[in-house]
Amino acid sequence: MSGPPPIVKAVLLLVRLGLAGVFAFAAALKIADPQAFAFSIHGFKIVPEQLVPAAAFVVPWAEVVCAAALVLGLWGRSAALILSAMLLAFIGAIVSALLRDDVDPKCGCFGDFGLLCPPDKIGWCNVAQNILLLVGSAAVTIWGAGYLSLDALARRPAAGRA
Amino acid sequence: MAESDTNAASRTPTARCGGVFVVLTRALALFGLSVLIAGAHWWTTPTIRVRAGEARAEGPVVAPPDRPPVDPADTPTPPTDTAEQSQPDYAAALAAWLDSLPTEIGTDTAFRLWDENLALFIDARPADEYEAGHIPGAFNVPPSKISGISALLDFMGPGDRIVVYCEGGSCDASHLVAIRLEDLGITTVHIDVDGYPGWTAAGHDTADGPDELLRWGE
Repeated sequence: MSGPPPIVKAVLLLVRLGLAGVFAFAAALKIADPQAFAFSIHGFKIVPEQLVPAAAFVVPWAEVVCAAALVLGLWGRSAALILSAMLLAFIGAIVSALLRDDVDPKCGCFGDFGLLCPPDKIGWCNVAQNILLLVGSAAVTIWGAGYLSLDALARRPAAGRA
Repeated sequence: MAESDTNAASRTPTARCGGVFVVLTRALALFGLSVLIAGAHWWTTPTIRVRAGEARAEGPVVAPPDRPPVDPADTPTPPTDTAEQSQPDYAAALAAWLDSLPTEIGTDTAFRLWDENLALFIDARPADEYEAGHIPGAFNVPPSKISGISALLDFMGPGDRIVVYCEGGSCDASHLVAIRLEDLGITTVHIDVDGYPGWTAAGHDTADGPDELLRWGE
């Protein structure tokens, strides 16, 4: 057999689809309103002002592309790697915002960042939520897309030919 | 079995290195695709702004006029000729002062606008903080309700002056709401950068309870 055991592959499939759903939803909100998302980024006072509009477009579209790749199971490890990198950046940004004095987490500077957490305030709940997502995307990065993926389909004929 | 042969081969260090390289290359390709789509989206989108009042040319601020004499209706003596003449002067001086106001104002200016009923006030803080205390008469429009901001236009006349405030200091919510109002074509938007803490510190009147007019909860 190749890759992880069947139970892991089944879990990877579920994790993959869950991640894709979450990121597709998050991206849809941001793409529908780039101005609000640009302001959310600006609120963190981390990204230079000139780069804020670029980030406001690239981040949600990277989420869409990776979500699509995860649903299809095409280049699943690569897509999960990008999402892991973005989640690490989000976690870093939120933690630094919570620790600094010049950013007020209570004033709704962060737009609709809530998923499981209250949207008007940012807090450690958002950090926990992103760590949970990071665990999932790291698993897919390490073990691959699991069952029902184009990656597995592409591997099979190659294995047959060998 | 052929499959186990492939698996054995993939366990060699060289093959594993190759695998990591493939994953990284594909990640770069996916990211490149995202950048292309994002670029196309950006190209077709109006300018993204992170600061309100950018379009406004700000000149020197005119000194605010002295307060007019007490309303003649409240005084037992009938208005004199001089008092009647001072009214148009006051209105002109007031208009000049209002036109010269910058986008970002402080508590004193905000209070003058509020006290003389010269502007609508918008509280950009979360609903629970608004309910705990706000500037009397202010509407509650947190950024998360930003899409509903056009409902506010029902309560406005053209050219109405608006003051947006939030928590003061680092709070950006008022800026986002101000940008939205400017996008809707309202150019006379001010941000009270001292926010609600500045208002209470100055000892001005406050009110509490939910926003009865906009009723976001319904």
